[in-house]
Amino acid sequence: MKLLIEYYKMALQSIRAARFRSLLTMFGIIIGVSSVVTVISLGEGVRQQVTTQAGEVSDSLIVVRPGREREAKAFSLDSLRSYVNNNTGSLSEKDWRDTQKVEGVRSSVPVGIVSGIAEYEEREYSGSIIASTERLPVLLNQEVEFGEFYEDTASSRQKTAVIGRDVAEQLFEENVPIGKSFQIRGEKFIVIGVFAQQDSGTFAAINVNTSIMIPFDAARDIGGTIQLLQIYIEAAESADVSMVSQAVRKTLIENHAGQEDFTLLEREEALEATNAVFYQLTVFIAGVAFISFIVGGIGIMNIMFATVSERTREIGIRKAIGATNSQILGQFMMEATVLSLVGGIFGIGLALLANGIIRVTSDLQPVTTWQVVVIAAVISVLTGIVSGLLPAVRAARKDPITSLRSGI
Amino acid sequence: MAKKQQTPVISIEDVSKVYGFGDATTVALDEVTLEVNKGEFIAVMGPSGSGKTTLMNIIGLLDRPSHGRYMLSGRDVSRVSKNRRAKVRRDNIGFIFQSFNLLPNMTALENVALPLAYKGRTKTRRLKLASNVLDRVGLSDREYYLPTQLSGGQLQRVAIARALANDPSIIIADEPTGNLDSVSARVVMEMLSDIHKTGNTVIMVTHNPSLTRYADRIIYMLDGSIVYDEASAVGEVPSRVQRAVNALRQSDDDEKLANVSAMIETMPDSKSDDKPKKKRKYKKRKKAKK
Repeated sequence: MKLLIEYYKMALQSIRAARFRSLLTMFGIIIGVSSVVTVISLGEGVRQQVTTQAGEVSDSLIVVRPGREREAKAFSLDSLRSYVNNNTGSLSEKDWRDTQKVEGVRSSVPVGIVSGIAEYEEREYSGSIIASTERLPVLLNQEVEFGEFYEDTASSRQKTAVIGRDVAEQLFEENVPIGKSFQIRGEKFIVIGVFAQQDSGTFAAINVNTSIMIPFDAARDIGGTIQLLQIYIEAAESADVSMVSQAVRKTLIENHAGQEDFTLLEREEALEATNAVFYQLTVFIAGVAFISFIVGGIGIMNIMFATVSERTREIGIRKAIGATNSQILGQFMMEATVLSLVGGIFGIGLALLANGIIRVTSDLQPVTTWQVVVIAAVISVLTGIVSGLLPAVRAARKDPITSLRSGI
Repeated sequence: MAKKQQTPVISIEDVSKVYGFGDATTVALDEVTLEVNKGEFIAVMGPSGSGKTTLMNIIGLLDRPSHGRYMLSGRDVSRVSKNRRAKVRRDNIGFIFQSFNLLPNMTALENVALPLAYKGRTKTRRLKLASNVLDRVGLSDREYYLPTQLSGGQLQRVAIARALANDPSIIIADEPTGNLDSVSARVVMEMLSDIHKTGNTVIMVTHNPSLTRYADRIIYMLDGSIVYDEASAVGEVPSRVQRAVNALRQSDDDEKLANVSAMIETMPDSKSDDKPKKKRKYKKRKKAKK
């Protein structure tokens, strides 16, 4: 330990003696660490937003999506839509109606996409027109900021709409266009509510900001096709979610002539799907990180080799006054390690700075956990050790006599 | 040779150093036998390529002999491991070089403290010790100067302080005044002389015969062998040395050739394949003459 501190001091001294070169050497590591930490922080931030959101939806939520298994787990509405287009939506309105009758179901909410474009004066808006029912905002954990959401009772056939912020700004060019009417397929709809800004962007299944939500019955009245992208089923508080899920599955299979061409996701499974995506993302980032650390490590190794041959005489002197081979080895290993560790620390600092800037300038909320910081530091150290090993061995093996003879 | 009664600090028996293989073999040291007692001040003289430096390297444990035995303070060190040699070197031997060999990015004090660091002394302890030694060479006011800020004489005094830092029993000085002006050289030599008087064994390689006046024993080397080895009173340059040097100056063509070949050998980028041949040729002639 005492020796290590000694090597550390020597390393600092020689790094300080060649500040500029050391900084250049560190750049590979700095950039690698900072980009990796930034991307992981972004991912973690998004993951936390998504899970928080999902967590606020009641635990009793079951999601039905068309198609089988994996593909149906795709969690953004856009990917789901293109998937449905290729699979001719296997969920029907009847399915939705029937699930409402299943025992233990508190409510069943359809998410249907209505074909059509919203028109207001001379402007058009081509966001998602979603046909749904009263409970949807509750299940999405989405607040209506101005006005109110339509109700399922008598008003449900009325042509009313609740729109996202983006729609308000783009189509109506004002913040609260309540009471204004616009047209879908030639039919007039009156805006009765505007959603609060949805922070997590498109990562939730439905991007509320760009959506126009209209009552399901009204949507059917104006004609055109309604594709059911998903059905949210809320189990009653007293009911067991998996029992309800089984019952729903049975009902749907009956409706589908014995075929299970849909997927049921319980909340946990839905989270799992989300987590699976993030896991893949993490693996990808880890790959990028690995490459950047290799590049950084090679940079350090390169400079260490140059340093060793440049400082041959110094090595000779040190050996002449009694440094053992292992002491020389330790000194150069420590130098490489300190270089990459300091690079790693700079990189982490840079990443925190970048995260701060991202927080201020965008909706994203990067979260840097201490684990990420520690892992980045540890990997930096390992990179230093690995890339310093060969140069240090070369330094340690130098013959003191020939080393002393070499010019400075 | 005086003081036979005690164990010699250095006892070298039939030590040879051979470089290269087969036809390219060079004999740098040819069965040298030498005993050095504690407290001696030895001046080693001889032309370039005579094996002085090789002998110093072996005594200083930077190199190991090809054959023969080397006892340092009664312990056989001719076959010990590199690590062991480094430790023995650290604890027993102080080097002073012609070109000072201080580390350029360290202050005088840090340079002097470096051997103590390898010994594992704590920082405060070794800086204190180093400061004491620097004071001993009269440079206590230059502790925080970098080598570039010091004169040649001062640099060599720092180097002497560094050699003394570990309190070694043997000081090896390879042409310590070779890069110095005469005034600085004198200061450095007086200092070495002082060190000698405090009981250290000093072995100094020099080309300058007048410096032998500081020594109490003079060794003259030629072609890897010790040709003269005699005691001399401190303060005088023995006549034999003078004569040897004069003889060298008036050498015949053969010896000039030898010196050229020796010079080539010491040149850093000489081709290794042409030096042994010349050397061998020269050796053969030498033997033929005998």
